[in-house]
Amino acid sequence: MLILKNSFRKINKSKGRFLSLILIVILGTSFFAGIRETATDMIKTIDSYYDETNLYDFKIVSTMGLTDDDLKSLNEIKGVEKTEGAYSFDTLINGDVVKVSSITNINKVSLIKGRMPKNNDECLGEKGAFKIGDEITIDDDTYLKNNTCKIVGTINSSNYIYENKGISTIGDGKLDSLIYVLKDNFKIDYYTEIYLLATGAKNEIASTDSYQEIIDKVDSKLQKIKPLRETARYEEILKEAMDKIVLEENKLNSLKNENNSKFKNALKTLDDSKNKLDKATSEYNSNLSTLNSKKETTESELNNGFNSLNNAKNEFNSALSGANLTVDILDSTLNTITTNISELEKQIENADPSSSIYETLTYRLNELKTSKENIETLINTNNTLKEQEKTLNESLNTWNSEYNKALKELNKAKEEIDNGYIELENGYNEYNRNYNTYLEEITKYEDEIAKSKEEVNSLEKPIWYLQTRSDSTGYTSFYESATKVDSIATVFPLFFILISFLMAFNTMNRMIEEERGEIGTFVSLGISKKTICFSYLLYVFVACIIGLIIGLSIGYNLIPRVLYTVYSAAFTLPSLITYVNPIVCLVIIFVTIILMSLVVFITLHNDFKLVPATILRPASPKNGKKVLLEKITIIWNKLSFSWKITVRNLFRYKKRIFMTVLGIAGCTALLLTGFGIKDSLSSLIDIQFNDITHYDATLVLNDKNYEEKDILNSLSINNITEYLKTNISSYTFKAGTKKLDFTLIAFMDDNSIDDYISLKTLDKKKITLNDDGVIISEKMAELLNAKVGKNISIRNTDNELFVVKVAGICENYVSNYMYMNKTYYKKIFNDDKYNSFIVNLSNDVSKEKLSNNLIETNYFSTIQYTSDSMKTFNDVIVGMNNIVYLILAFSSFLAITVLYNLTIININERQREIATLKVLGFRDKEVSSYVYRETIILTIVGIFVGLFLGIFLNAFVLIVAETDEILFVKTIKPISYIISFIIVVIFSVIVQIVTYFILKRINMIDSLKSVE
Amino acid sequence: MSYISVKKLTKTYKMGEISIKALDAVSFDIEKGELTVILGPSGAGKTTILNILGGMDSATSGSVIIDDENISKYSSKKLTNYRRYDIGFVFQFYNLVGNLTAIENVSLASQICKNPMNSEEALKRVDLLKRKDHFPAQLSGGEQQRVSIARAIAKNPKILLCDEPTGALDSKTGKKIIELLQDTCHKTKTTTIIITHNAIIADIADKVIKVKNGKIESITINKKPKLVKEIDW
Repeated sequence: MLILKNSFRKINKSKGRFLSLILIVILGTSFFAGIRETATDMIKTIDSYYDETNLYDFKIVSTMGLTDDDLKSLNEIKGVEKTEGAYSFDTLINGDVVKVSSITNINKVSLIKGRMPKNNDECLGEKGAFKIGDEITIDDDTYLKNNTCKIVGTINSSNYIYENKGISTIGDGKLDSLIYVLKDNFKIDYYTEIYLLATGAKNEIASTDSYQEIIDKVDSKLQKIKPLRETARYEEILKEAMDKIVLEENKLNSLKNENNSKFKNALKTLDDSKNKLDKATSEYNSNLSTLNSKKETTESELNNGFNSLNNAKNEFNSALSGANLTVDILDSTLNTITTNISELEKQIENADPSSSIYETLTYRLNELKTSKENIETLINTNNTLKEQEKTLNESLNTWNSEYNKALKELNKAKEEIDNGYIELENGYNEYNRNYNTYLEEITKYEDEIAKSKEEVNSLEKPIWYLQTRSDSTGYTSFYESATKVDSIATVFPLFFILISFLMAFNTMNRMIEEERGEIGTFVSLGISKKTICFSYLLYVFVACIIGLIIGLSIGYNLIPRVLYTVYSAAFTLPSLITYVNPIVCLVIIFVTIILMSLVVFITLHNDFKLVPATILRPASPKNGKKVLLEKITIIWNKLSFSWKITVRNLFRYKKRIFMTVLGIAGCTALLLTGFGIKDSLSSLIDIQFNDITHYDATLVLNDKNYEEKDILNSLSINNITEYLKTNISSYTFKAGTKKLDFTLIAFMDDNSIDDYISLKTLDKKKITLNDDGVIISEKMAELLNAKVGKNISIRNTDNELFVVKVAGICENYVSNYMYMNKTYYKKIFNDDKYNSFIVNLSNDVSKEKLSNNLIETNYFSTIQYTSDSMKTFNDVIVGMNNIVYLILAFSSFLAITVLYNLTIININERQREIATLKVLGFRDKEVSSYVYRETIILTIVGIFVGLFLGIFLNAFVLIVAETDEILFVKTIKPISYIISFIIVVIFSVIVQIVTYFILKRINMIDSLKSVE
Repeated sequence: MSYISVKKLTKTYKMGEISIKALDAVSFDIEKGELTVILGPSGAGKTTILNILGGMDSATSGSVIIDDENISKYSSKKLTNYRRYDIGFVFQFYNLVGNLTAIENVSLASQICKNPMNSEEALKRVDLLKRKDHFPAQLSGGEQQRVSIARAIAKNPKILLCDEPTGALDSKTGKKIIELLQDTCHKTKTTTIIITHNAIIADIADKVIKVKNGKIESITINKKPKLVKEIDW
């Protein structure tokens, strides 16, 4: 019980020491747990995101689309849990490249705001790019039934976690944002992609070896089915196309048949009508002439009649005029005469018949009677004439009306005929027109069929592209980042913990030494060693437990969160789920406690070896010793007295030198390593993209065969004058059991490549390509264990093996490359085609515009800018840099703790000496310089040792952190040495300012006390 | 006026709420060249006197005039100078710097004062010249104390203060040390103050100041101080 009390009083008595012990534990454990757990947290967070959203394990796209049959046969593969066909296409909306995809169950989107679409008028938009309520119109009606839809929800997709969403074949070639519509809204009859989940893959953490194992198994099966399905699809399409051609030919034929007779009939009808009309015309003409001849005879007859009538009239008139008569007075004259006759007769009757009167009367009567007869004859003649005239006129009228009627009839007929002709002409015209159209149509049909036939003939086999998650940029970058954290986490914290442990050891050791007298007393009082041990263990445990609680909570929460926040800057990720790995956590707790206990045991052990009486006596003071330097009297004699003391002091306490130098060296090494990693990362980008592969862009040609002069023309239109024809393709090599990708760049121009890629040996000497070998990158050579002159084997994507000779090894840091010239390429691959250009651009060129222009030509499928690669890589680097800052922060903390601790121990150990000096009249400045001179020297020595160690630690950390894709530049910039140096010096100055006051407080009277 | 004149020297230690009077209006005089022994049991206040005389502690009240200078009013800087130039200190536990040789320990002190004795001369005085290059750990307790004395006298101090110089030594060695101190005092006419609880030593002193419970019990002047040879303990 008392021992317990004693322990707690110890804590109270030595708050500073206790706190520094806690701080050491906090620093060690939080850093270790934090750095170790961050990568795991990140990976687990993303993995659960992937699991929740059913991110595909495989994605199959085909050059000719995919079908339900494909789905069916994929489903039959063992190891395939689920498949789903999906649709997508890229389109331009307001100049941005947008991928429109179907909402699927595999590759689920995660809804951020709003709701899922209910019908084809609604869609989802990517968060950040679209707002709810936006109306989207897609300017391409090949794919969707409904091209206008409203955003009803915003989403994120686990398939696109990286801000760089990948490439597109339209616009500027870079995918900008995403839109999702219902599957039902797609009207195309083939899937553009098939997503696939592998059985059991979900149970594994993505990107781990066990995940990869599952994927590889399924992959090999998919590889087997791939050619079968490709062929099947080819045949299907071929058959479809052939069927279509036959159908079209049939259609054409029936069209021909049908229309030929139709046109023939139409023509016949037209001709018939023409004949009829012709006949009608001739009929009309003969009728007309008949009528006219009849008119002639009739008119002459009538004229004759009129002529004789006129003659009779003339005779009559002359007779009339002979009688002095006119026609008008004939009747009256007759009446007069008749009256006169009757009067005469009356007179005769009354008159004696023999009287002269009588006779005269009679005579006169006779005369009158003759006149009357004459007049009566005249009247008759006149009547006859009149009759005759009337008859003639009647005949004339009859004729005229007859003639007019006939003429009218004839005219009508004529008109009809004329109309008939006009109609006929129209008919002919129409016929001709229709016939021409028909002919055109037929030609078109025929052309089309010919084209279809040609297409069928040139129909290439579809190619399936099997993609796994690692083909998505985000996935790769994310895991790359996470693994970087992890790889740094493996070495760094260990070193860190080592220093922490050393410091703890130092502190405890000192404490126990200081309390030697107390221990001796306890021992002599008969208190068991166990109990004494326990009292110190308790002290340590309390420190450990407090330290662990704080350290682990920082380590498991704060550090991962901070790092994750920084990392997710370039990613769209769900918020971090922190995990506490119970095993690691327990290991940390146990190791910490065991290490700390070990410190107690080791130190106490030294004391317990002795008999109590000896323990009670103060430890015999360390022997003063002459140092080696004293033998070099020339130097030694020149040293001032205080320097002599310092020099000798330095070598007096070996342990202290060791501890101080090691502690400071450790912190300096950590700092330098931190800066070194930063240097390495920053110079990596610089060297790789500015010194080595310094071309500006890669233009990848489309597969189709275009005329070279057209392509070159399109380059010159776009002001690209510096270009190199290249054949760039992906190959693999085997390093141990791993299959690794590399890029083969073959230069198909004889021009110098120096303006595009600078190939240099590791010691920066220029190397050139020759006709009988390749130049490979450093990392690749390392992985292959290849030397110049050795043969290496590589495989193309179809797994064909090629053996090439290594003619050189070049400096390269990011990815693996193989370079060869045209001649050697031809020799190995028997081919001299180029598939891309690497180009240099003028500075003022707009990348987007250039991409747009080049992609529009259809000659190019992809434009890759070096600056974009740089940016992608930079994002990874930024993440790593932040770890470096964390390391720097923690190392700085550690450095301060170490320096403080060491100085305090130094002062404590020499309290008596210092007090004595004070009694002897040394001034505060002299006392502190007496103490500090040593500390400063040790610090500086420590810094230099640290800088030296740092070179190796840096190299070691970088080697461990290196992946198969990245080679680190292991040189540390001079400025980093300087900064590390300055930081430690500043810290030590700060610490010494703080301890100066402690020194000042040292009581002289302590010097009078007996040694304890 | 005496060389050292202590008047109504009071020292109160405050420990929380309790104040302890370590010295209660102590007054005494010491003449130049005198060998004074301040005698008393432990806790009597003799160490407090030493501390104040040695410039390591300040008085609560009263005055301490040494060679016409009132050191009780000194600032800590002035006290440092006082210690540096005027005081030679001999510790009970020698307080030699472990990694300095005998001569270096002497030089450590002498190098900082104005008119030091040659270090070798100092060692010669204590008869340790032949061991000048030995480290403290290689010397016996008595030898170490002799080095300590050499260190003190090398400064040519106005006052030689000795705090229980024999406390950690066996009697034979202790005698030798006392003899050395007496010799030194007589030869160099250095005012020497020895603080001890050992009454026997008092016999060799010119003046014996007995302290008890923070007060002066008695001040005795030996007309004929004994030689060290003559005493026995």
